[in-house]
Amino acid sequence: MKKSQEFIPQVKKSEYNISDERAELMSAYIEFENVKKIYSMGEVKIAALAGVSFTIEKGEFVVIAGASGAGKSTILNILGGMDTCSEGNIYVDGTKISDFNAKELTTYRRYDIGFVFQFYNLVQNLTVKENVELATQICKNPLNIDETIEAVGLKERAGNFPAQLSGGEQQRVAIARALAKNPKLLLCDEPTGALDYATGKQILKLLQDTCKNHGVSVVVITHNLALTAMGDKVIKVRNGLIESIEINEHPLPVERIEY
Amino acid sequence: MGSALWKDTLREIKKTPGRFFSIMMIVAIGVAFFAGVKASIPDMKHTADQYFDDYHLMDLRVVSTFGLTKDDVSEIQKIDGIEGIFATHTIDVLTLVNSEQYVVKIHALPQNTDEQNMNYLNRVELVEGRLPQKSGECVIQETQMFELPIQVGDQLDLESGKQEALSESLEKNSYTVVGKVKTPYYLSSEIGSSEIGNGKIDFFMMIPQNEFKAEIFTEINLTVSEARAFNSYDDAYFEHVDHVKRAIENIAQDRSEIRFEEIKSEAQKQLDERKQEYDDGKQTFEKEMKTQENKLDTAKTEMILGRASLSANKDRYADQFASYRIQIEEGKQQLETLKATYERSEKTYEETKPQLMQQLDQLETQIADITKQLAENEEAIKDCEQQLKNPELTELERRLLEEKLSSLRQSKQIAETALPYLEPAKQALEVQLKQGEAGLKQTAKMIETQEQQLAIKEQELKDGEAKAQAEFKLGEEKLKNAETAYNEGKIVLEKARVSGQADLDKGKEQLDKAQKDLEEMAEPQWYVLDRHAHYSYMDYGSVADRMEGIAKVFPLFFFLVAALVCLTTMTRIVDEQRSNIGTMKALGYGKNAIASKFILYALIASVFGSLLGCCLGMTIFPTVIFNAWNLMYTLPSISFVSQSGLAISASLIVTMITVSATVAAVYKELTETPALLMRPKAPKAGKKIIMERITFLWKRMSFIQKVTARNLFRYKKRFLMTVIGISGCTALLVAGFGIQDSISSIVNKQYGEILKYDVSLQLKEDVKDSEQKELLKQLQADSRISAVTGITSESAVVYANDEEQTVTIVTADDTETLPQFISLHPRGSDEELPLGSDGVLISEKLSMNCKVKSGDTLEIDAGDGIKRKVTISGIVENYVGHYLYMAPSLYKEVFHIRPYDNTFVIKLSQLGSNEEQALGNDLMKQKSVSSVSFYSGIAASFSDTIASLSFVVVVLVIAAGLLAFIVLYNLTNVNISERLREIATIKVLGFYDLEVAQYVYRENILLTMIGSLCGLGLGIGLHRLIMNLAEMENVMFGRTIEPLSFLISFGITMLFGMIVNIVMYRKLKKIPMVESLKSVE
Ligand SMILES: Nc1ncnc2c1ncn2[C@@H]1O[C@H](COP(=O)(O)OP(=O)(O)OP(=O)(O)O)[C@@H](O)[C@H]1O
Ligand SMILES: [Mg+2]
Repeated sequence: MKKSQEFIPQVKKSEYNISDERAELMSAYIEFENVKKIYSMGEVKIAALAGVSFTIEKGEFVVIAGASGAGKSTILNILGGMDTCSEGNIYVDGTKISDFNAKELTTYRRYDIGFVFQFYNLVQNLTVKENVELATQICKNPLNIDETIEAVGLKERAGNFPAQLSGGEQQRVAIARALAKNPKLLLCDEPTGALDYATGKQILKLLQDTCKNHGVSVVVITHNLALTAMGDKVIKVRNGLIESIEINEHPLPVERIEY
Repeated sequence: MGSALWKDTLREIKKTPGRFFSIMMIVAIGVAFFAGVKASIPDMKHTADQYFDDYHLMDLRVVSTFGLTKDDVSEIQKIDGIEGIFATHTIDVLTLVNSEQYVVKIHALPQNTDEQNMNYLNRVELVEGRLPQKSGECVIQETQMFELPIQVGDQLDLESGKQEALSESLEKNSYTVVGKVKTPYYLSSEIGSSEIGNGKIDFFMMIPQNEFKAEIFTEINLTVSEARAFNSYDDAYFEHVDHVKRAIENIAQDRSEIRFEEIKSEAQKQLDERKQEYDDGKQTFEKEMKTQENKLDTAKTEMILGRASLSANKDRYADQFASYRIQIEEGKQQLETLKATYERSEKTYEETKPQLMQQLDQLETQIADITKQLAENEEAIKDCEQQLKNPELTELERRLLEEKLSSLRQSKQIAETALPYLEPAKQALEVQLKQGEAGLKQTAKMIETQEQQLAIKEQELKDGEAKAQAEFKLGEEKLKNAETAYNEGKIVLEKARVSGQADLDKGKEQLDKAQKDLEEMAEPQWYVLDRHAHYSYMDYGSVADRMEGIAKVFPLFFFLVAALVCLTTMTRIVDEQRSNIGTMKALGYGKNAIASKFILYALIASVFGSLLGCCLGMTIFPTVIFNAWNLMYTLPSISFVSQSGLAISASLIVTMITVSATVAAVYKELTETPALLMRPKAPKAGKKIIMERITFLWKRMSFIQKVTARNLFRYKKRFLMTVIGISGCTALLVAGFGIQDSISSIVNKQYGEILKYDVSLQLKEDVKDSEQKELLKQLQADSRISAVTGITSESAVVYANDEEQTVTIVTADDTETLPQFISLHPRGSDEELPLGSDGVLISEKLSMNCKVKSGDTLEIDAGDGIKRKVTISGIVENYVGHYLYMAPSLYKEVFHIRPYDNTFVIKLSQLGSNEEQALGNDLMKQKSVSSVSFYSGIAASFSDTIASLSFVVVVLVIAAGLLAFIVLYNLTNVNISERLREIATIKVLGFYDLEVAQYVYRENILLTMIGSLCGLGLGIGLHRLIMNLAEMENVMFGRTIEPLSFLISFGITMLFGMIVNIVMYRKLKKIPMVESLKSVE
């Protein structure tokens, strides 16, 4: 693992260099422009997103909140390249991903996106380390696996199978897996949904620290409005539309949030 | 609940068509194989029986060792229960087509070939042309395995192949082919063996009954009334026929005794005639020998005389020359003496000559003196006388004068007296001188003469000697020529004597044997044969029964795969329905009620699968199997017999299997508490596999390899199902291609590695030893032939362990060179087995058929009805026909007759059809050659048969493909559905479609490979089984499978795998990534 020496600093530097240049050229790091997602079920058309616009800056910690069925997951999926929008433009780091075809989207996911699922989605037949390895072996510039696992506090459990871990531990593995890819964007769909309060907090802390330390933009979906305090930006969604976008000048560290 | 259960089950089926289809199809295949292969046995027998019935195949056949008379026929006809009767003849003849000899069995067609004629038995099916209508017309067999080079319209010239002329038996000796026929009497090209030609009958021919001249019938065929109602492969049929059979046997004894006496006396008469012939021949031979010997003796005497006179002449000449030489020698001596005398005389002469000359001079001087004195005296006398006349003279004076005169006169007288003496002395002296000279001269002359004479003599001697030498040379040459001529004559005579004697011995032995045979002749024996003794009937029945073996193996395998497919599928369905089961349980449904949904699912799949399998399997498999066998047999197209029992039992068996598998799958879930069931099933926990313990190996594996290895060992049922299913697929392929390899390889092996000769030349029966030697010499001199040797090849019947086999006995005088022509080695070894006097070598298939091995004994009947024991000393590789090889010494010991070469086997210098044609024509011109066989033709005709076997391969490939598709489809289907979340997740992680496919398929491919490799081994066994079953009685198929076939089988299996993967790739691609977001069910 040669890359271990050049871990965080270098990556950071290069990332910033590029984004500095881009910042001049473009208005924002990520931009949703009137994005619509319409599901047609026979005659009926359901607009999961009815025209959504927002921006996310580099290294921003964004919280998306809203009621069930509001369209949060849809936004995240489209942003993560797992789904395509029906209308509108999406720019990520100066590239218009809304025009991407399936293959380009895959490449985009592969190199730019880290995904953390509500139900962890670890491969049961692989150990912790192997689950992380599964992600790193396909990307160009992965982080050191062992260090990443250590960073999520699972150094001792690296050889365990997911079934031998608690939910929180599993979610941390999932985060390590997403992080190790060294993505531009970390997307988390209710990462604490299946976890108890304390564990959920641990996870959120991990995400917040990651955002701060690695300069990765992090998008977290939550039901819990209390959590909005920790975001740099809070996007509220309702019935497929943006209800509000708030910039939080002083986001609170997770430890200080009670919910 | 009933309808709800149905609805629920049907919805489940609709939801999972792939799984339902997998179970249904594997059930269908299993049932198809099981019921299909099994059904083919009754179907084949039924078809054959129909054929027998339709063409009135005889139920019973009566033959006798001495033929049957008209009286016999009428006696039999009196028996009750006979429907049709046909007393007929058969005869084996030879015919030559394109210089190749064929042995033909001629049967008779009744005059009346009308459908209604119940006495028209063993009817024929006209394939081409028409039936014979007049004398000189015939129909021949429509052959199946190989094409006869005979067309309708061709004329066949027949030969008896025996001593007696064909005209004794048949009206004509040439028949025109007017049609080609098939008959249930012969279902295959195996017509039987014959005493003539090469011993194997090539095809049959049919001519009208009245073409046969013989009064004596060779056989009586008959049908039993109402026997057609039975299937002749059933016991009931034989029970029905048996009472007629026994009735005939009852009259047999009386009939044969009557015949015996007639025959014996006739035979003795014939034998006596032959003995007389032999004696005559012997006398002639001995007389001829004597004459030749006498001639030689005379020549020898003349030669001796000639030699004596030559040597006498030599002696005489030598004497003459010797005396001549002595004379010359004497002459030379005389000459020497003469020369010496001459020299001496010359010396004396030279010495005396001066003396004599001096004397002569003195004498002359004296004479001159005396003459002078005399003259002076005269003067003085005259003076005196004158004076005396003077008268004046005084007396004194006178007296004085007178006195003086007287003294003068006296002196004159003295002188005168002296003078005559002197003159002669002088003359004498002169003479003496002259004489001396003349003497010398004469001697010289004599020497000269003598020398001349000597020279002449020497020349004469030389000439004489030269002449004599020339004469001797001529004489000696003549003598030498005479001697060579004599010696050659002697050799020729010796050869003639040996070969003549051999011919005589042969004749004598034959006669002795014939006499002995006659003495030992058994009483005529009647044989009443039912279909158990009918070769085609038995052969085809056994072929059908052999399918039983396949019917045992295949289904077992397919049922196992079906069970595994069902188990994996149902396990998956049950897993998916977990919470459902839990809910139902919680609602108070009983175990049976819950399980019944799954059982119903399997049941429906099984019922439909069975239905499909029975419908397709019981038509396709019997048809394929029947048609495969019909490459060798000439049955009309298959007619099916309904076998509902089989269909039902096959369906029941397979249904039981699937239901059991379903119960096994659902059982565990049923025992769990509803609460547990309603919670998501803990995903099958990953665990370390054994391989991980082998750290050095594990470390070296790439990440992907590790993942694959883990997954591979994770699902044992699926592993088993796939490996077993795929191995079955590959095994079917290996067997299919192996069948082709094995059958095609035997041609090259038989006619390349074992029988290494290119041509075999059958000699005529009556060929003389000398002619044969002459022909051999001629063949050896032919530049187109690289090697040739003589062998004895004759057909015989061997008996061992109640088996009876027709074999070809091969013996070769020259056991040293035999391996150049026929390689006698055990299969799988290059070591040539020696032909010794301790035992015989037999071909492998013969040993298998007779169940004998090296060291056992066999009994041989070489056509004289006597069984002779021999020990087997080795078993040699051979594929076509049965052979028994023995050393000439052993042959003599066993048969009490020395083997006579009757075949020349030839290796050609160059191979090519033109050369062969030319050589064949040349060879056929030889009067001692009866037929020529080229082996290139045999190889070609065999290859055609193999090509037509390819549809068996096609069926096997299709079956293999189906098996592979079902198993792999099921595996992939279950795998994907179970790992939906995992797959969606890796998609989200950014795996490209191909990478996702690889991630999923790597195991499939590996499993396919493992299964395929296992299948290669399994295929060898399956192939062996099929080959054992398919083998004909006198052909041994190879057991070889070419490496290429393994490769192709492996390749095709992998290809099947790839096809399934490609099909499933679309499904894989369609998996939505949002699956990864769903909660665990
Ligand atoms: N595949 C689909 N077909 C039809 N409608 C869909 C599909 N996926 C989502 N929807 C609809 O789109 C809307 C938005 O769904 P989305 O999953 O984004 O909601 P959400 O905000 O994530 O809700 P929750 O908090 O419950 O996860 C919902 O009304 C849903 O019914
Ligand atoms: Mg959601």
